[in-house]
Amino acid sequence: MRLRLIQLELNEKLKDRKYKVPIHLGLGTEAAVVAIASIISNGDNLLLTHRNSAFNLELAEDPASVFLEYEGSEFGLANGRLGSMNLINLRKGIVYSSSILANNISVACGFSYGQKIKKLENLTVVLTGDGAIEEGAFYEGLIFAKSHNLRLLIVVDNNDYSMASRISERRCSIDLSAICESVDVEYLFLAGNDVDSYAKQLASVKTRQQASADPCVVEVSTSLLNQHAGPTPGWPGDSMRVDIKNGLIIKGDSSDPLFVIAERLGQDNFHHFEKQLILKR
Amino acid sequence: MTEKYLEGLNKIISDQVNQMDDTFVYGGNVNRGSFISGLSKNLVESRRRVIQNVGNCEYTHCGIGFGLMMSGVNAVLFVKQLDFVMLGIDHFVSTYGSIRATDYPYKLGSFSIVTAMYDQGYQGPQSSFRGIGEICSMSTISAFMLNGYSDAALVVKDEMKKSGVRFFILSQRKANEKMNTLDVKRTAPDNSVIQYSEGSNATIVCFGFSLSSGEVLRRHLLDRDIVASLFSVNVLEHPQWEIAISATVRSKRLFVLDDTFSPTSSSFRFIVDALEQDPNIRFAIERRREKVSTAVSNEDLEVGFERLIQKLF
Repeated sequence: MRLRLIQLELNEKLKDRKYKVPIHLGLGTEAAVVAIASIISNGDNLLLTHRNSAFNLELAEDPASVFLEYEGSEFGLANGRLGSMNLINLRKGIVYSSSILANNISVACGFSYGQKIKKLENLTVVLTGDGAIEEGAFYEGLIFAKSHNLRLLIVVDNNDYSMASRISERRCSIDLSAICESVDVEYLFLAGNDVDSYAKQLASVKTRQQASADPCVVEVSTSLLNQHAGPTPGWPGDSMRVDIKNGLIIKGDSSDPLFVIAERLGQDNFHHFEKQLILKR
Repeated sequence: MTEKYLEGLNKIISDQVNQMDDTFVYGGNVNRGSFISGLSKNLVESRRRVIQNVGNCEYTHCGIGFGLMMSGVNAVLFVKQLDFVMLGIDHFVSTYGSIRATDYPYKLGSFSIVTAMYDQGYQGPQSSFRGIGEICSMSTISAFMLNGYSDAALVVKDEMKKSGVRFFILSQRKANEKMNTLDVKRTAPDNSVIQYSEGSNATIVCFGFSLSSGEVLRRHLLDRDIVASLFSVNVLEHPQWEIAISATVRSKRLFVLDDTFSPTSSSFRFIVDALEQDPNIRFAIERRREKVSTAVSNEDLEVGFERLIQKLF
């Protein structure tokens, strides 16, 4: 709920054209983001994509440092030098964020191999998406990770879109589980936006990886509730509407992780917590 | 010293790699078959040094090197020929750009790519990429052109262990030639420029793999009692060439030998920098003037020594 609120605040700032850097919000990805963040312990490492904003906001000691980074401030998280798409936070284990599709897979393989050479048993987690798995680099990385028994967790955020193109509009379907099976890599599919369930399943994967030192692919089905980049709505007449005044829930079905939380808590409890959170902010 | 070029370089490189801990040495067939035409022979694995034969995924190999470097581990990637390195250009430009914008609170590892430039012209149209200067220009990564024993021993020993990325480039043309053993007199602080001889009558500055031709020119000049300084600029990106500029300003006569294939060769920048210091400097240059053929052909740079000397003396 906290991450959703911060992202909504950021969206309002984007509407006001407060930033020059391109910012890719992750409204709708909160269940996956919070669950992944929950399994990152000291020494583990995250390699993200251009859509790293939600992770940085979730993991930063003070989200204001992320906002300042977007302003280019020397007081920003990376002293205003990395901006948005390459923003990292070494103190929190975010070691790399890449704006190039699938570029971070091979870097993550190297990073994970580095941990292995140093005899560290840390987990390396790399985020990618349904667009990036179209790149050959994804397949190359999968083979490398398996060939060298890397403790690498590859999370594929499948939101159906590559900018404005849906999967069905740009390519044939890809059976990721079959690809993983072909190279003997464990595969897990997460859907439904239940953050507790996601966290438990990911923790279980991590435990298995710590024991076996093998890679794993987790495909997470998400619905991006904001435009590809910048504010939502992105233009006059944009059918996608997001407004902080409407509360934390953007969509009234399970494609919105906040709706799933509300269903679980009960509407009254949810709105009670929502009010408290907004007052606290 | 009677070693051939490739044998000599293998000795220098393997000696250095075998002293490095927390190091991942890798490449296709790096420890198999011909050991990449002998380039990766004599590498020794240890508890803290992994030598790993890897599959055919050069883009990923390059990304892995950056990941290892970011994790504080050293990476040495052997690539049979420069053509294959092209697949890593995204990492050289974008990944390294991102890393260089970050202030790391710990020491990054080193990442060295050792590869041969197939510059003898016999490989055919698809395997004759020689534009290392363009890769360096796009990525602002240094490439050390290994001309002979002394420069290679110096730069491999000094540079391979340093944090950050660099290429070490061998010339396929020279593979079976006798190793050049000219002694080093001075070097630039970053090892980008090496001085081999001192003289006040003329300055010879060599680019690419033209040092041997530069030494021949120096001897031709000496036969006429013209004593020349001899330099090799062995890094293609932002070399610190002040020592060569100073010598040129003193001698007022500059010979430039450039056997690189790049239309944006740094030899042109060198001449401009020298003329900015003193417009009265006279210069003669030997470079590739013809359009470089992509078909099978001999690619030796033919140097007209007499013509060059007559132009300035």
